[in-house]
Amino acid sequence: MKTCLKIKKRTMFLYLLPGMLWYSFIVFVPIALAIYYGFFNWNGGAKMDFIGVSNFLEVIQDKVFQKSLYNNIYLTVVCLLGQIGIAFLLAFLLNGRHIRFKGFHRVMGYFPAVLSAVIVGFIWNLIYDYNYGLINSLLSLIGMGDKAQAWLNNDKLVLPLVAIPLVWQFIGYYMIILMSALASVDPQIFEMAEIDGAAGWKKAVYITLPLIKNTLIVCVTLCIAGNMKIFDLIYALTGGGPGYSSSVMAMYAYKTSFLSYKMGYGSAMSIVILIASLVLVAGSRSILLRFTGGKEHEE
Amino acid sequence: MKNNSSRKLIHIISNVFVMLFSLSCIFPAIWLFYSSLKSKSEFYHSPLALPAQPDFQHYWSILTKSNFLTWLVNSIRNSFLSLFFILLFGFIIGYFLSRYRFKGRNLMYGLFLVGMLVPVHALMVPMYVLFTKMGLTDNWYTLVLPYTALGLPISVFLVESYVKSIPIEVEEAAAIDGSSRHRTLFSIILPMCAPILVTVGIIQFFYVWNEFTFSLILIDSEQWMTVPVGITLFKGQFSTDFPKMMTAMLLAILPAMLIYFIFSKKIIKGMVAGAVKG
Amino acid sequence: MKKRMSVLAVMMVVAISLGACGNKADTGSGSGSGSAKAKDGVELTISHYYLEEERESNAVGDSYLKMVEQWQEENPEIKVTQQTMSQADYATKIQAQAAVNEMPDIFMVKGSWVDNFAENGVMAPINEYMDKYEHKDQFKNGVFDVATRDGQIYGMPNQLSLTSVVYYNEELWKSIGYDKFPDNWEDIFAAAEKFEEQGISTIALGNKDKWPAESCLLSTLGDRYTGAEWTNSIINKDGNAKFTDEAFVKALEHLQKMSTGKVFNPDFNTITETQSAEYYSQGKAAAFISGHWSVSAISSFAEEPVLKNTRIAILPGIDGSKSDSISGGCGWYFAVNKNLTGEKLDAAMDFLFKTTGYEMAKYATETYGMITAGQIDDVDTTSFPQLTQDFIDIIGKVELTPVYDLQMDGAVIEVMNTGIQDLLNNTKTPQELAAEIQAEQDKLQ
Repeated sequence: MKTCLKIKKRTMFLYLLPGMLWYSFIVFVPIALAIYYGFFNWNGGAKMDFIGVSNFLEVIQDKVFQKSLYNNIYLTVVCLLGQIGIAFLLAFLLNGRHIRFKGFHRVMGYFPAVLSAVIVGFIWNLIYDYNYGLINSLLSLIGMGDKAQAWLNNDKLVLPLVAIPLVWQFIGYYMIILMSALASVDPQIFEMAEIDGAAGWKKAVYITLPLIKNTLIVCVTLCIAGNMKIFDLIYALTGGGPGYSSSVMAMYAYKTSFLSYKMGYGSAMSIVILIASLVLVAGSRSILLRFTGGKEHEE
Repeated sequence: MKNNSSRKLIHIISNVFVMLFSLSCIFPAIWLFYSSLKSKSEFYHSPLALPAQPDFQHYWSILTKSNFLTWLVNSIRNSFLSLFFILLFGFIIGYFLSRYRFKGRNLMYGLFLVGMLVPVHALMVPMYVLFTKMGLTDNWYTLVLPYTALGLPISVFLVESYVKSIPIEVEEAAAIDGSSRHRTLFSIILPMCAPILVTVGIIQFFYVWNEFTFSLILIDSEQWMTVPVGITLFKGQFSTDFPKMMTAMLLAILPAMLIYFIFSKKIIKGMVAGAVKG
Repeated sequence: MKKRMSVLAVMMVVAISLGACGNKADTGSGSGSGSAKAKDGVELTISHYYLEEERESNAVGDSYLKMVEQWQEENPEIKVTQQTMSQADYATKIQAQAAVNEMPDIFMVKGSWVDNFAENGVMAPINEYMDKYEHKDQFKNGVFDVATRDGQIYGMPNQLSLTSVVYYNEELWKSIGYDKFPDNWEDIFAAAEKFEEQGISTIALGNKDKWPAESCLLSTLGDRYTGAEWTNSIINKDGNAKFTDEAFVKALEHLQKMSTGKVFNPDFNTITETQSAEYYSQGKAAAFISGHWSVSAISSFAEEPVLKNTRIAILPGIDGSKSDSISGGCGWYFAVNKNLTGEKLDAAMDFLFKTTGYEMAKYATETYGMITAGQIDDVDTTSFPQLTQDFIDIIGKVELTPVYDLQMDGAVIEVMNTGIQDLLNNTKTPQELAAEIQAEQDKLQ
C-alpha cells in the first residue's frame, strides 16, 4: 500500500471503536453468560447447582441433539445447492440482455424473503394440507388421489418437504447479493458472451466466478450460518414434528430452556451449537479457498 | 442458422424459467391478499377462488380495535435506527477490514464470524438476563441494540468483500488530489459502495421488521410493542378463521412491503448504477 | 454524497420524532384509569393470556377480563396495566422473567411450574390473606392442592380445567346404528371402519401442537389403566410408579391402536386442536375429544345441524370396567410477585382475590354455566344453551383425575408429547416411548 493511504493507528481505532463496543457487548456477554450457565444445573431462578462439564458431555450424547444436528446439516447442504445455485443462475441470467422484464424479476425474486416466517409457514402448510392442499388437489386431478396424504406427517419425507419452502424463500436473498456483486463485473463480458452463444456463456462463467469469489464465499458462509441456526420457519411449519423428525438444534435448545425449564442444559446446548457451526463454517471456507485458489486475504 | 435457432430456444427457455420463478414468488402474496377479503365459509369452500364479494371488514376491525398506529411507529423507528447504525458501522468496519492489515484484524474477523453463527433463540435466556440486569428492557431503544449488533456481521462481510473489488487506485488518485482520508472514505468510497449498502439495507430492513422473539421477550408495555408481536393478539389459538388470520399476517408485513415497492425502482437503480466499472 | 448523508439524517430525525409522538399518543391510552391520578403511585402490572380479541369465543377469558374491569372501576386510583399475549408466548416469556426474578406483579402459573417457582421463591404465599378471605370456605375440595407446597398456598385458581370430554354428533352415530357414543372400545373400533367407508373420521384429533393427544386423551385413558395412585406417585416424583409399568404401557398401546385402527382423521399430526374442532363442527368427524373450552368453541363454530345434534359423553372404561372419571382439575393459578411489599402487596392481593377466586367463579358460573373452582349453589341452569346444560350434567357425575401436562414435570411432558406423535404414526413402539419418558423422569430427584 502506498504511503499516501497510511492512516494513524489512533484514528482507525476511533473509527472502529463504537461499532465494536456495541457489537461485542450485545453478542459476547450473552455467550459468556451461556458458557457460565452451562456449568450449572439451573431451572431458572436463584437456585443453581454447579455440576462441572456434565451438561456439555450430555449434549454431545443426546440422541435428539444428534438427530437435530443431522437435520441442520441436511438442510444446509440442500440450501447451499438450491439457494445459492439457483440464485447464481438467476443473477447471471438477469445480467444478460435477452431476459425480458428484468425490473419485474428483480423485485419479485426477492419477494419471498420479505415475508415473515409465519406467513411462509402458513402458506406452505396449506400447500401440504391434507384436505385443502394444493398437492393433494393436483394428485386427485390427475387421477392419483390414492397417493394423497398428510404430507408433513410423513417422517421420511418431512425434511425434504421442509427444505423446499426454505430454498424457495431465500433464493431471492442470495440473488440480490450476487447481483450487486455482478454489478462490479465489466458488462462487456456478458455482451461478448451473448455474441458467442453457449461457449461464450461458459467462458463468461469462468471469467466471472473468480471476480465474485469473495462474495460467493460470503454467501456460502451466510447460508451455512443461516441454516445452522434456523428456527422460525421450522417452528411455524412443523414445530419439529412428527416427533423429532424435523427438529433442528436451535429449536431443541429453545424448547429445552423454555418448555423443559432446563436452562443450564439449554445454555450448554447453545454453546455446542455455536462450536459445531464454527467448525462447519471454518471447514467450508478453507475448502472453498483452496478450491478457488489463493488466500482470501493475505496476512 | 441452426446455431441461431438453438440460441433462440435457449432464450425462450431461460425467459420461461425466470418468469415461472418470479410468478411463484408473487402468487402466494396475491392469494393471501384476495383470500383475506373472503368470508370463512367461502374460503373453506374453495381456497383458490377469487372472493365473490370482496370485504375489507377484517382490516377495519383490526385497524380500529387495536393500537396499530403505535406498533407501526415503533416498528418504523426500530427499523430505521437499526438500519442507520448497521450501515454506518458495517461500512466503516468492513472498509478497514478490507483495506488495512493491522494487529487484531484476524481476531475481529473471528468475532464477526462467531456473531453470525450465534443461535439467538437458544441464547434468549442469557440475552434476557443481560438486558434486565442493565435495565435496558422495555424502552424505545431496546430493540435497536440487538438488531444492530446481530445485523453487523452480514453487513461487515458483504462490505468487506465488495470493497476488495474497488480498485485501490481510486483512493490513491484522490489522495494525490489532496483529499483527506476521511473525505475519501465518505465522499468517494461510500457512494461507490452503494450497491452493496442497498443490498445490506434491504436484507436487514426486513429482518428487523419481521423479528419476533426479541420483541416478545424484551418489550413489556404496549407503548413499545412492534407490529409482528402486536398482531399476534389478533390470531389467538382459538381461531380457525383463516381469512382473518391472513389479514393479521398481511397487516404485519404490509407497511414493509409498501416501503419496499415504493423504493424498489430507486433501490435497484442504486444496485446497478452505482456499479464500479473495473 | 452529501445528499445521501442528508437523506440519512432526515430519516433519523423522522424516526426519532415519530418515536416521540408515539410516546405522547400512548400516555393517554396506557390504562383504563383515565385521568385519575394514581394515589401514592401504586401501579399494578398483570400478565396473562386472555386476549381481548378472543372474548367472544372464550368464556373464561371474558369472565376474567370482566373482573379486571370491575376492579379497576372500584379502584380508579390504582393504575392497572395488563400485558397480554397468546398462551404459547406467555409460557416463553414468563420463564425468562422467572429466570431473573423479574416477575410482573400478578401473573399466571401452571401447575407444573409451581415446584420450580416455589423453589426459586418468585411467588408470594397468600395464606395470610386467605385466612381473612370471606369466601374461603366456598371452594370445592382440593382446588388449591396443586398450588400448595409445605402448607404455603401460592395461587388462586381461576378456572377448573376439564380436559377430556367427548363431544359427539348423535345423528352420525345413529346412522351407523349406535344410539349414543359407545360405552366400550370394541364398538368404537368397529364404528371406525363404518365411518371410514363414509369418508368421515370417527374422532377428530389435531395434535400438531403436541399437547392434545396427551392432555385430552392419554390423561383419561392412562388413568383407566393405571389408577390415580400411580399418577400421583409420578407427580410427586417419589419413584414408586414408573412409566415403564405395564399398566401405562398398555395405555400407550391403546392410544396407538386408536391411530392404527383409523379412529382419527389422517392428518392428526399436522393440524391444530382448533382445526380439529372445525372438522367436527363441519360434520367431517363424528366425535371430538376436548376440554371445557370447546363448549364455547363448538357453539361458535358449528353449523346449525351439527350443533343441534351434539351430545356429551365420557370415554368408555377398559374391558367393561366402570368409567366414572375424566381428567380435570385446577391447573392454572394467578400468583403474586414475591418482591412486593407494603401497600403494593395489599393492592395486589386485593386485586387477586377479587378478580379470581370465588367472585370470578360466581360470575362465570352464572353467566356461562362454567364449572369452576368455587362452590356455587342454586344456579338456574335452564337458561343456558342445551350443550352447556348437558355438559354441567355429565360433569356433575364424574370424578376428576389429574391432567398430565398440568401437573407432571415439564421436561417429562415434553418427551411424552413429542413421542406420542411418533407413537400415533406407528414409528415408535409403546415400550420404547415408555422407556424414554421414564429416562426423563429418572433425571428428577
